[in-house]
Amino acid sequence: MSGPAWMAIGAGVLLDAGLKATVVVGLGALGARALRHRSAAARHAVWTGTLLTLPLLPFAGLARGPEIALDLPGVLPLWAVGALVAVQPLVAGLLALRRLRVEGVQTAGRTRVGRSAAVASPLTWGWWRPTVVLPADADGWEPVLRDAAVAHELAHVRRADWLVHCVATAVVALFWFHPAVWWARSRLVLEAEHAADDAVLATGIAPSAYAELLVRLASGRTPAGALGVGSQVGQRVHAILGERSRSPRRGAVLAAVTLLAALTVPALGAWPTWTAAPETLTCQPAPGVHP
Amino acid sequence: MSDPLSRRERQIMDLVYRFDRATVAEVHESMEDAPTYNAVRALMGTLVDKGHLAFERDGRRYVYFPTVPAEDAGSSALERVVRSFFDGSPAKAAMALLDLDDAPDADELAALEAAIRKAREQGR
Repeated sequence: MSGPAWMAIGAGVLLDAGLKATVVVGLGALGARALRHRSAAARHAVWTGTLLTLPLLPFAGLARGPEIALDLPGVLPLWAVGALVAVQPLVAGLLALRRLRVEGVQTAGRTRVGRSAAVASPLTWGWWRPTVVLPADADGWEPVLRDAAVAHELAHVRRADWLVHCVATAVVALFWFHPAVWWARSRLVLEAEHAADDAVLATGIAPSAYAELLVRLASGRTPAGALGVGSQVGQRVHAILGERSRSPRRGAVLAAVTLLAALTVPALGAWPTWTAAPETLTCQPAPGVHP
Repeated sequence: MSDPLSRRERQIMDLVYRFDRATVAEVHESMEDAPTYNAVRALMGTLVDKGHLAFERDGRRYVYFPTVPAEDAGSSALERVVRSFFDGSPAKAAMALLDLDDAPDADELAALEAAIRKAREQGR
């Protein structure tokens, strides 16, 4: 072996978890598709369950003992570096949020709402003491539209979206090498936005007025590269103007997903993807070399 | 950029950092025990050559500014890498109303505005 045994085992765990992550994300995609005529809140629950299940996979595999080892000493350090790079925007962003100067704060329960000259779009963060911040020029917006922006952010607060998304970002950082996990997170984020938009529309604002607020805020920004699906704002505007289920209820879906995860993870853990025995982890002389 | 600066050059750099951006005249006026205006101009030219200052035209004046932000001045490359790891944008760690990195281009904007107009005419 060209490195310590634990490195080889660790690399094997990564490979094993990576393969099983494909299965888990695939199940999540099937679940979301099955709920395509239901509300965004329901689909968000599916993606939440999917992403929260992923970090359990390495433990499910390890419980059986190491089966596969990758004798490639560079894999684990490379994974660690990639995970740090992937988590950096979250860590650095959280620090920037702590330093953010918020003015004109009004409190409603545990939530505080204020203004900041340092943000370009309404933002919300925090779980125990949530903060909603509007850009400084929001005082010049029409009150109806400003209320809609605040309602959108408060919907995220009620749904605890920020906490879920922070955890999801950490999960994605662990699985940074797996494109399907990134994709699952992008679906999670989009469904959260749809669900918050649904909550805004439930306050009675006209869909065209709310859509116009989003388009106005989005115009003048640097467009993303052409992805073929249209921008996030575009997808949301079409959903806002369209007719579809807007129910916020997701409890049943969350319960179903949790049950499924409780069955899937041990099943995947018990599923031997490899048949090598632990004894083969000891170093063997290379063929043709006499010890 | 690793040549040590002379006392005068140090003095000029401190003034430019304090003003953030300054002309030769502004630096010359604020210097204690100042040399001639032309001497200050020559020194600032040297600082540009050494890479500590840059300048741009502002109408008829030339305005000088430091090339390295104040908090990075004197840091090693490693310190700067570590600091930039913690340099973040708040929007990346919060839920935003809009994802400003995924904005529609002009064509999509026009299509969205048309869809909104149509919805408004239909009373939605």
